[in-house]
Amino acid sequence: MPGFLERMNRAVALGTILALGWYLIRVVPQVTSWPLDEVSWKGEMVIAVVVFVATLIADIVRAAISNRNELDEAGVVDDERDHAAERRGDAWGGHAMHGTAFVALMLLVLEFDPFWAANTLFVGAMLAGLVSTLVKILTYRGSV
Amino acid sequence: MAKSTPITNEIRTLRFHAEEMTQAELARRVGVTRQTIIAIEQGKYSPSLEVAFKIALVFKVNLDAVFQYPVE
Repeated sequence: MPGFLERMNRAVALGTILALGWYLIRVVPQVTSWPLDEVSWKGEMVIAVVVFVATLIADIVRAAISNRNELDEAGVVDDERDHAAERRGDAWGGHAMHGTAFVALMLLVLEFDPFWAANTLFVGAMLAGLVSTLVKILTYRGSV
Repeated sequence: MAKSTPITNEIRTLRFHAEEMTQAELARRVGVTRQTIIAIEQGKYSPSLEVAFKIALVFKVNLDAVFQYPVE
């Protein structure tokens, strides 16, 4: 059975996919059909963040409960393997976030509609988080 | 598919000879999670030198009795 932090990363990945997937399903069809000022996205973005946080909290509680026996067994919450996975994942996530911020900055400098900068930041941040957690999961599995 | 480290180990055998010590007990004595012991045993994770020495100390053997690196 995976450890607490490994399960946490899976929970974050699941929450990110759910929230981002829901947001994209709601917003992308509008962007392709209607003018930008008629696209409803701010409320959807807030809801997506709430869905993400709610999923995260639920999964943290679930992982903590199912991990109780494991903690009693060895008495260790995290160790060097967890720290190595965190470092590697954070590095990859950081690179993705830097790229996202740069693209959003360029969109603002070139005076694109704020919709594009906001959505680049939102989707980019979610994807950067997803990249980070996936790298952590792969590191735990010994695939990276 | 998991990428294995070239480092091999005898932890499972040493546990067996140490009164069939459980992975959880070894993890507790080394100060790591049981998942890390499992990953090390399966060759999916190379531990730090400190953890490697701690494992050897638990079994009261030298480091090279626990871990081996293949010479080409």
